[in-house]
Amino acid sequence: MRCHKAEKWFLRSCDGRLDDVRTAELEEHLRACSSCSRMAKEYRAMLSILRSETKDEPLPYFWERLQSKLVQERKSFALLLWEHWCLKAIPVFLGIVLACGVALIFFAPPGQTQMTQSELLLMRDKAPMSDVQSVFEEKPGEDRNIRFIFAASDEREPARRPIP
Amino acid sequence: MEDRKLIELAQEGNEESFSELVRRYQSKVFSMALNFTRDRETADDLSQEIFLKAYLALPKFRFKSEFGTWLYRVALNHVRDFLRKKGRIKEVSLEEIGEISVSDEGIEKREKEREEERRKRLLRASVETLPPKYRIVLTLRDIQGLAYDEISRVLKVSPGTVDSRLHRARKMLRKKLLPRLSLEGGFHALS
Repeated sequence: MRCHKAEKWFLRSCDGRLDDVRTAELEEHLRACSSCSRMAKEYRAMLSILRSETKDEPLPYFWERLQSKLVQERKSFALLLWEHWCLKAIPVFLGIVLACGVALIFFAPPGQTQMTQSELLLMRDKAPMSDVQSVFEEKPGEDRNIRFIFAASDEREPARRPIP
Repeated sequence: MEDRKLIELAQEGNEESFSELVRRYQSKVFSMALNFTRDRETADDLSQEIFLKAYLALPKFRFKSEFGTWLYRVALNHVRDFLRKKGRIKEVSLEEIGEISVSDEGIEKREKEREEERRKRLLRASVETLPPKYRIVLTLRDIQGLAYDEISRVLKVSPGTVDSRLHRARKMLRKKLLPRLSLEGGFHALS
C-alpha cells in the first residue's frame, strides 16, 4: 500500500467509513511504515481536539429576547402587508372609477325629456298656433290677453332635465 | 412531541411549539455561529436573526428535508452573508496564541486547563485560515458532528464532494499545524 492511499484510508477510518478488510490492511501498513504511523498520531490528536469542542449555550433569556423580536416582526409584517395591498388597491380603485365614468359618458341610454305642448304639436307635424289662432282673432284685445294669462298658468312648467 | 408535529403547529401560528423548536436547536445554531465568528455576543445576535428568519420562512417549509438540515442551511447562509459583509471578524493570529509547551507531570490543574485552551485556540486559528469551502465542511463534520449525507444536503453538494473537501481540509489543517508544532515537540503536544 502506498502512503498516499494510507492517509486517505486513515481519514475515512476516523469517520467509521472503512470496511474491515481495508482497516486490517491499513493497520498492517501503519505498523510497517513509521512516517504513516506518525501521520496517524498527528491526525488523531488534531481530530480529538476539534471534536472535543463543547456545545456552547447562547446568552441567557434567549427565547424571551427572541419572543419580543417576533412580536415586533409580526407588527411590521402586518404593516408591510397592509402597505403592499394598499399600493395595489389604490390604482385598481382609480381604474374602476375611470372605467365607470367612461362607460357613463359613452354608453348611457339617452335621457327622456319632457316636452312642452307646443313642442309636442311640432313633433306631430301640427301647427302649434292652430289652437290659439281663434284667440288671436278675438276682439277686444283685453279679453285675449286675459285668456293668454290663464292659459299660461294652466300649462305645466316645462322641464328639460333627463330623467334618471 | 416530534419535530414534525411541532413544526405543523408552529406553521399554524402556535408560538409555544416554535419556542420548543428553538429550545431544541438553539445550542446547535449558536455553536455553529460561534465556530465561525469566535465572538459570543455576535454569535448570539446571529442566532436570534437565524431563528427570526426561520420563523418567517417556516410557512414555506414543506418537509422535503429534515427540519434540522433546513435550519442548518438557513443558519449557514446567514453566517456566510454576515462574514461576507463584515469580513472575517476577530481572527486570531497564530503569533498571538503564543508557544505551546509540553506539559510536565507535576503541572497544576489550572495550568493544564490554560494549556488546553491555548491548544484549542491554536487549532481554531488555523481552521480560520482555511479557504471558506474547506472551513465550512471541516466545521460541520469535525466540530458540529454532522453526518456526511447531512452535510451534503445542507451544502447542496454531492457526498463525494463532501468527502474530497473534508479530506483536503484535514490535510491542509495538518500542514498548517506542522511547522508550528514541530518546534514544540510535535503533535503529541496537542494530545
